[in-house]
This record gives sequence, C-alpha cells and structure tokens, in this order.
Amino acid sequence: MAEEPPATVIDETVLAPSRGWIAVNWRELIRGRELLYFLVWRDVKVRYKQAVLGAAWVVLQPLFNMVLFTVVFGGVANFSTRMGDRWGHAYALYVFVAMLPWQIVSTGLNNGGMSLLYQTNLLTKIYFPRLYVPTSVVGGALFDFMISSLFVIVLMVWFHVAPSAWIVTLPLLLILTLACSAGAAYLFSALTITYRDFRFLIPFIGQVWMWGSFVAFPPSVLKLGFKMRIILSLNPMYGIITAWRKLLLGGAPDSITGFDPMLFASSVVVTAAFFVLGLFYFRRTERRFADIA
Amino acid sequence: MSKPIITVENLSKAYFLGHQLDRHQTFREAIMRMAKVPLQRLRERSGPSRDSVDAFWALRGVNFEVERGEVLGLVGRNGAGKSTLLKVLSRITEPTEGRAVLRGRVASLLEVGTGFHPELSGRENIFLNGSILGMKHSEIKSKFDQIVAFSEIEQFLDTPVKRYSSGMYVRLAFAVAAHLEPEILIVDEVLAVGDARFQKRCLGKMKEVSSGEGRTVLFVSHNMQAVSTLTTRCVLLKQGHVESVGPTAEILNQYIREGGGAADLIYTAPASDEKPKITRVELRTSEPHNVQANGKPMQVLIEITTPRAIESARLSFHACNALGDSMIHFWAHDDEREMCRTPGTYRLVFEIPKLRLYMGNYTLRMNLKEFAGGKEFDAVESICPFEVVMYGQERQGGWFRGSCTYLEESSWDVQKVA
Repeated sequence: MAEEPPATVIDETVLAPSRGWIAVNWRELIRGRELLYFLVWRDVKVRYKQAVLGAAWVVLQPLFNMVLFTVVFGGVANFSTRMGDRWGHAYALYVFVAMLPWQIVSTGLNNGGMSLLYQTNLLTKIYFPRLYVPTSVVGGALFDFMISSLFVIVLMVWFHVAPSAWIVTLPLLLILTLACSAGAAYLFSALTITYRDFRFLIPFIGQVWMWGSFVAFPPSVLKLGFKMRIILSLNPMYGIITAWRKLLLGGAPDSITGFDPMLFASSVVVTAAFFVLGLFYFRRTERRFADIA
Repeated sequence: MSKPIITVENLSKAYFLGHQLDRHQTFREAIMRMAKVPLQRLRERSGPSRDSVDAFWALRGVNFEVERGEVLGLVGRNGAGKSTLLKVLSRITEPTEGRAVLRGRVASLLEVGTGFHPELSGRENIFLNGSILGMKHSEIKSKFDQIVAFSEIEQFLDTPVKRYSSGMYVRLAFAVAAHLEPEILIVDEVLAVGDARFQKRCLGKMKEVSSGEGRTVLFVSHNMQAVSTLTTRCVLLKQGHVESVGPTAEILNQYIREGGGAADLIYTAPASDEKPKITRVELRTSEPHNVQANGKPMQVLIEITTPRAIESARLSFHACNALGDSMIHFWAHDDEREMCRTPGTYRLVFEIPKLRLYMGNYTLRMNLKEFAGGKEFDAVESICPFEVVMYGQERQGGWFRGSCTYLEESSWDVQKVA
C-alpha cells in the first residue's frame, strides 16, 4: 500500500481543452527561469563562438549602418550641416545612439519573429513554456546591447559628448525598449507560426518601422505636418529613440533629439499596449503550435 | 488508497484536416476571409465544430489510470494513437475533449537529443539538454559524472557535437535523459535507435529507474521483448480507442493475435524460376480455428518448389512466441533423408505427437538453406498463427498465461523420510 506523499509535494497538472484568451502562467515562467537563462546563453554562445569576429560582428553591424548613413545622409544629402555645427560633426555618434535601441527592437522583430519557426523540433518533441523562445531572443539582444554600448562610449569620448542628467533613468528606458522588442518578438513569432507566409512580411515591416523611427536624422529636418506627427506618435520606437538621444547626447536641443514629452508619453502607452497584445496573442495561439508547426 | 498518478478521462484528440485551425494558413487568406464575412469567421474561430466532416479523431474516449510506481506499456499498431496520447500527456498538444490529470512531474523522451545544438560541445549540451528536459543546473552538475560515464564519451566531451558519430550522439542524449528524476517518465520508441548493446543498457537503466527508484514509467515500443521485460500492465490502443487494459502477457498475446490479420493456417507463396522457395506451409492443429490443445498431436506440412538441385538442403523452422523468441526448433536435413536433389516440388510432413507448448499465441518462422554455412534461399516469419489452449486438462486454481514456456512430462513419487 503506497503511502500518500505530503500534499505540498504533489504537483497536480490538469490537461484539458482551453478556449479563448489565456492568462500568462507567471508561476511556471518564474519557476523554470533557469531554462530561459540557458536558452539565452545558448544563442549568445553559438553566435559568438563561431567566428573569430564573434563579438566584433555585433558591433560591426550597427557600425556598418552608421557608416552608411553618415556617408549617405551626412555626406551626400547634407543633413549633417542642417543639424548645425555641433551636432553635424558628431553625426556618426548621433546615428549610433539611435542604432543602439533600434538594434534591440530589430532583433526582437527579425530574430524573435522567426524564433519559433527555427525551433519546430523543440515545439513538437518536448514541453517547456513556449514564451521562453522569443524571450531568449530579447535576452540575446540585451547582451548585444551591452557590447555595442562600449563602442558608443568610445564614440562619445571621441566627440567630446557627455551624457545629460537624464542618464540616471537609463535602466527604465532600457526596460521600456526591451518591452517593445519583446512585444514584437511575441506577436510576430506567433504570427509566423500561424500564418506561414507572414515571415516574408517581416523584413518589410522592419524596414518601414526603421524609417518611421527616424534613426538617421531628426524629423525637424523634414518639416512634417501635423497629421504625420499624429501617425508618428503611434510608433513607439520614434518616442523611445528620441529619449535615448536626450539621455546620451548631453546638451543637445530638442530640435536635434526630437524629444517631446507628450510624444514620449504616448510611446510609453503604446509600448505597454504592444507588449500586452504580443503576450496575449502568443498565449492564445500557443496551444496550437505543436499541431501546426 | 493513494490516488493514481495519472488519470485519463474520456480523452479525445481530433485533427481537423483542411480546417483552418490545424493547417497553417497564409496571412493573405486570413485577410481575404476577414474582409469577406467577418461574422462567419468569428463563429468559426470560437471553436472547431465537433461534427465537422473532416475531423480525424486520433484519440477518442480514452480512459485509464496509472498507479504510482507502475510501469505501463502502451501498444498498438502504427496509427493507433500511441504517439498522440504521449504528446497529450507530455503537454505538447492539447486534448480536444476530456481531460488528463498528472500528479507528479513529467519528463518526456519522445526523441533523444532534443535541444542539442551542433555548435556546442558535449559538455555544454549536457547542461542545455538537461535544462530543457527539466533538470535544474545544480542537479545536472551533481549528476554530470554519472552522465558522462553512462554515455562513454569522456574524451570527446569538449568537441562540438556536430563532430560526433550518430551512435555517440544517441548515447549522450539518452544518458542525459536517463538521469532525470521525474515522478513520471514517458518514453516513446527512443530505444529504436542505437546498437543492440546500447539498447540493452538503456533497458537496464530504465528498469533500474522504475523498480529501483519507484518511478512511474509510461512506455511505448514496438519491441515486444522490451515491453514484456519492463512493463507489468499494458494498454492496447486500436484506432484511437482503448481496446483493452490488462497484464502485459495477456495484452501482448492479444496484440499478436490481432496482428495476424486473416489468421491463415495456410501460407502460400508463388514458386520462383530462379531460386528454391517455400511455396506452401499448412498447419494442422488438433482443434479447429487455429487452436491447438496442449499435449495433443500437431502436424506441419511444408512444400518446397525448387527450379534446380540443392546441395545438402536444410529446412529449419521454429515455433515462436508473441515476443518473437523461438520456443521449439525443428529441422529437416538432406543428410537424414534425401530431399531437393532434383528440381521439382517436395512436401515435408512434420508429426508432433504431443505439443508441449504452454498456453499462448505462437507463430512459425522458417528458412531454407543449403549445406552448413551456405546460402539462405528463402525465409518466412510470423506465419500460421496459432493458439495453444489447455483443453481437457483440469487443474485446481486454473491456468494462467505466462507462467511457463512448456509443460514437460514427468512422474513423481513421495516417501516419508523422517
């Protein structure tokens, strides 16, 4: 006759059909968080292990964009002169500061968006909280951010730019940026699994989003109308990037950073909504992943 | 009485073929549909219709319980629903109806090496794989040496897994999985990979896990020997339904019996112009309908058709049990009586005056060869299924399947000595 083990030890799981919107099982996510760390570690390690340039590549990619923009917009289109002496010369830094948060979100969108598709064998063979997959991509993006920020510090020293007093809010801004990235990762990873042709839309969405976030130059250069500005306020990355500029480019006027408190507030709200939407859409479609993968 | 560790109640899983919910659709279609009939789409999305014509029920109304510490086998033909049931119990896919209650941590082995990354070393993959399977970092660390020892890849621990041979890969993967400590272990055919020696060790380890550590194991395999060795009870699945639940020996016999298909006592095959063939095998049992009573005579008639002379022909056949093990061996050699020295058809008749096999289900397996060490011309397996029964023999307490292999004649006497 088996003895009844103490009630606290028994883990009772009920497997039954679920319907509609499903809550996030926070307890489960926190309990298994070690696996999340492992997945992040795995992604990072694999990426960095392969090439000798491993760590350098992370910096090289935004660096390449920065150089490209500097040449095209700074040199050719002369936006840099329109930004005035001080900031026109530091154009490279200007672009790079915006690339920092943009890379986080871009990784969440592109890599995160495809993350489930690349792991179909995991989805169909073993159970673990599926949210870990796109979340680990965001974790990887955070790691890349750390590496890139070293380069930003180098640039800041080079151009004699000090961060503004707002720098103390950097952790909060970072969390906000990560939330935007995570929202994109959750939403798009669930979408690409559900709709197989969606994966082809992702690079396109990424491009449009980037241009709509004014990474390369402040919108003041373009003199946008009121309608455009309303639409812009719906893009959370626009507000977030202006905030990063405000933090890191000490002394830059708002015409250069593009920062506007109302706009930023709207970005925060939109980001929060985006994150929640992504999270819940993921949970809702999660139960079918193994069936349709 | 403690509650069973797994309770399955009316569990059903349907795949709706062609229905939007299970086929990954294209975004374009979804947009078009949304534009066309918004209301209709809302209704469809609220849940699959049960009476949808294209519903394929992989599982329907499955009920059974598993007690703590039990090793339960899950058998059935391909497509019976075994893998689907395991997937549901492993939380990989959701049931459509009914429910299952698991009262313990579950670790599933539906495939070895899940989560292995080719670029990472063996050592790193042990941690990664272990973590995916549910082990904590500290757990993996404490068992690391055991895992390495079991997998026998010490020297390759720090090379990337992509350089491993498939055998090493499987050994490592199983080694990690074997050292999990879940309350419930679900294993699906993973033993199908690897060589015989490895399979034996895996079986041994699983046995250790179940009887030594008292864990509950749910085991699916086509290897009847493995199922018979490891499990005490089995569930037989047929087309998504539970056909029967019972002691392993009984269920296996039932499975074999059903697998016999048309249950012919007569096997025929066409003759060949190129090589000697066994063209007909007829089993004459003591009772009708493929039934043979223990202790009664049995006859086996075998016809061989050969287009040419065979040097020193040998025909050998076995009566095999449900697991495929040979119980009795019979043979006919040209050395004893002339056979097949010229082309033509030959009929061999085997007379067994008293079949001693114990009750159970058996089949015949035979082969036709030439001189010792020579070529094998023909071989057939699993033919002429028959069942041995204990008709006309009474015994107090009755006859139980699986209690022995055969009944031998003996006489006994007793004397008081002190």
